Amino acid sequence: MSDVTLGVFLCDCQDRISSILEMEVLQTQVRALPDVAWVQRQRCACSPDGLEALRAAIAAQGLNRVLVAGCTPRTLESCFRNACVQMGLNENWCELVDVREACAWVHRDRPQQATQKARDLIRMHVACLSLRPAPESATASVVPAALVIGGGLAGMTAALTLARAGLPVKLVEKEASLGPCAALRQVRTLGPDRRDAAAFLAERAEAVSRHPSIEVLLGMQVTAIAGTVGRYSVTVNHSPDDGRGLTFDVGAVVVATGARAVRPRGLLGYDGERVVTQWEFERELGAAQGGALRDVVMILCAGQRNAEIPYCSRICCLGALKQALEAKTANLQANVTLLFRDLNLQGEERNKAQVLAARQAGVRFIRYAPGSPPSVTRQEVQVHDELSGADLRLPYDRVVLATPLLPQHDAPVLAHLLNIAQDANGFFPAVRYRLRPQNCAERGIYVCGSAHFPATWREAEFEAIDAAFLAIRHLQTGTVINHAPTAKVDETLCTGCAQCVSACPFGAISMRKRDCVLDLSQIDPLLCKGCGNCVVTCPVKAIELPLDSDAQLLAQIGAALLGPRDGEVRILAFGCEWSANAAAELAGAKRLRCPPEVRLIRVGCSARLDPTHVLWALLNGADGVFLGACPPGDCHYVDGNRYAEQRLNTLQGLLAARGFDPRRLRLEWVAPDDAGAFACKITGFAELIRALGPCSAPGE
Amino acid sequence: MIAVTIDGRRIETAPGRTILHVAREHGIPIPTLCYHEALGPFGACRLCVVEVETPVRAGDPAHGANGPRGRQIVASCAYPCADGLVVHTQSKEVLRSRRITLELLMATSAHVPVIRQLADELQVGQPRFTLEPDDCILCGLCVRACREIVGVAAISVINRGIEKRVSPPFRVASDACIGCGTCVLICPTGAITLADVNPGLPSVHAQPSPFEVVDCRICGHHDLEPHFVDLTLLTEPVVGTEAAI
Repeated sequence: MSDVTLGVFLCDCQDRISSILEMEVLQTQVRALPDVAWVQRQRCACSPDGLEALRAAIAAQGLNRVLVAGCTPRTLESCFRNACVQMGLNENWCELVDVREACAWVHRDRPQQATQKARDLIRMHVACLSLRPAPESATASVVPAALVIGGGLAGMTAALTLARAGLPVKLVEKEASLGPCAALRQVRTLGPDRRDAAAFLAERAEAVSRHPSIEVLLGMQVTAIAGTVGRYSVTVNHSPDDGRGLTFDVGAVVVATGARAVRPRGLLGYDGERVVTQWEFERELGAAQGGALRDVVMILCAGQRNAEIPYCSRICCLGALKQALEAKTANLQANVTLLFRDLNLQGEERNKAQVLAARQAGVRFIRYAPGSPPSVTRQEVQVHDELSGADLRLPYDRVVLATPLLPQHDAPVLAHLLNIAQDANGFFPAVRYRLRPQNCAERGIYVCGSAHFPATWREAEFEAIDAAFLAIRHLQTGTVINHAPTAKVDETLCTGCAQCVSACPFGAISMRKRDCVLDLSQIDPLLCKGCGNCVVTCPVKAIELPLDSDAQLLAQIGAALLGPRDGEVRILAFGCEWSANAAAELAGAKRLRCPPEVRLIRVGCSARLDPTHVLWALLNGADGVFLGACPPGDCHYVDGNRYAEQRLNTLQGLLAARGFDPRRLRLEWVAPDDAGAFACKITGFAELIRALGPCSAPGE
Repeated sequence: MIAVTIDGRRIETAPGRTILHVAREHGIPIPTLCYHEALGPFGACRLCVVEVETPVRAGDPAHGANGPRGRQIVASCAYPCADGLVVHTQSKEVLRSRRITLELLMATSAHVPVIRQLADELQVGQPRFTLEPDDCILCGLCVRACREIVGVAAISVINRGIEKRVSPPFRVASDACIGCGTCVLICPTGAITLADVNPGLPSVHAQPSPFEVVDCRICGHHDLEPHFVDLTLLTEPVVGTEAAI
């Protein structure tokens, strides 16, 4: 590019860099690099005086790209970027390259090699920086209105919280009235303090229906959601086929669809009369028929925490304790027996007090093992008491089963409409991206209550308020900005193969009709987090990350391998920003010794590494290529490390088939805070490559 | 431009700089532990103290610039330069103050290389006090880096006085932590690891464990709500289990 005027600032870091690196040599070498228009040494580039000098040089020399050679970018890059932004440059046109930790400190006993490495690193970054465009960050304004899906306790609470913050709220409930589902409606009292459930919920429903900012849409469900972050265009209907839907725009969606109670046919002799669920027993206790019962057996974890439904529904233990106490109160002579595997008291002292109260009231607790569950016959319940080892036969008037809460039938539909994940059990998990906040635009979709996971009424209420406050913050901010290096599709190249759609871990890519002929891939710039997996996946290279493009990476690889060999091997390492790159910076800060032949290139995610990058490196004279990625399960972009592993394995196989030693490629899992392990792994790899010696490029 | 005098050297500088900025820019060494260029001044470690001379009665026309001057010890990382300021970075009082600070740091962190090196430079020997060894010197760099650089505030300083600690909120694994490792990188003593902030590093779709479980101390292999055994079994032992308990 001809319009690039690049300035390089070499920081002495007082004397922490200049006491080790040969700064004069470095300065001369950097000045000779193509594209470099200006080189300046600074005593302390990050001090107010240093930044002032940097700004003055930008103005005086007309620089439009700035490279500072100093310490780790992780802490100070933003400092220099801010200075450049003040001078009217794009923030991506400024970079900090680490020659202190990565060169001066790790190779302090080999100043000559350290200086060579610094020169190479500067050359790599110069090559990359001069190719870098200045893309705009994706922004969107947020419609200040909210949709709450579900009119149970969580939904009503969320709607009220939002409305009280002055936001217009649409509350969609598929039943004909507000309040919990038919099963949960049987619950008469809530919690250890025996609050009247019906009155409590009626009061909440009354407040919702009276609030002027809340529009309650009863008997309707969401049938379509179009648009993207900031403006979701929602269509609600009485039934999916009904054409007369209502469409409106919202900026935030709170999902409070709750969970579903079941009638467990075939489970432990369930018949709805003598063997009942907790919900049915609750109604019986309420109708004051509980006093007539002599023998009540409660079976906890009935039909849950097994292979089919592996989770704990969380509310049944407390419900059983409450019901056992109530049955005892109704009839002091009743034999109430509680068969349990574990008791989930949720760590609350007052729930523990309930257990003591139940024992004092004479409730029997019998523990059964998962391997020998109780069985129910017409006459009795048979159970093996795990603690005493006795086989017990318990006569019963009533068996109460603690059955599981399941996700709603339409949860997959909603997950598809909202583009949100479902966990292995079918609930909507709390998705939390471990990415920098500025690279992760808020989507405005929040889940609360039992739609997230079976919750007690207190938890549902708390989660609803929490979700509503997050939504309020999102709506009141007014705009979303995504600073991540987002990917772009070249529509003239896209063949519509849709491989990128499944490669995107964030659901940012969809297919769009064009010309009635081809479906073309399109990337939502607000959802893209810039991992680059789609770029590598695309078979025709129609997708590009402008801020981390293939051209920039290839230029960096080429620049890394340009220097004279001097009888040494040349090793190229790619470090995922979240693992190997972080560990390498830490190794430098801790002054651990690392092999000086290694040139490390930072990538956003290990999935960004294309096999062609590796081939390019080998063709340009690299003797070994190392990729450091997050350990399995720790990828910040869901499973980029798995993609990287698969790609590298395939490449190793292909190269081995052509007589190339596959040991020259290595993928290692690196924890970001374990500098010692990283130093050890990269040293081991360098020793192996030294032993193997320089390699000739793999033949075609 | 304003003029300050540091250790007898007259230095011209732009206004708005702290003493530490000017000293570093001109190669005058001042030790620091809690200062980082990417963060605002904090004034926690008290190692960067210097002595400044200030007019006793500022603006008193009877004395002018050459009137009587007072001396005070200030943190150079946070003290802005003013015209005519006279600074001593190696005076007896300054060194005494730094040595006491370092001796206190040595009492808990004598095993940390950075602290030992500073102690050697300032000729602080074996401290007169010993406390429980601790890597963390409470400089607050990790907390400030998390908030100011990363922008997530996953950790904070909790408690006061001798109870002061760096911890995620409520001492439980922080949901806000993104696992970037900036706190680990910036820590001068290597005291913090990601496991301190967020044990287990949950993946993107992590789901909180529904309840805390421990092994049953009777059968040894089942998940059990903590304290359950104490609550239900010990109050009324079931026949045949005394031996097991």
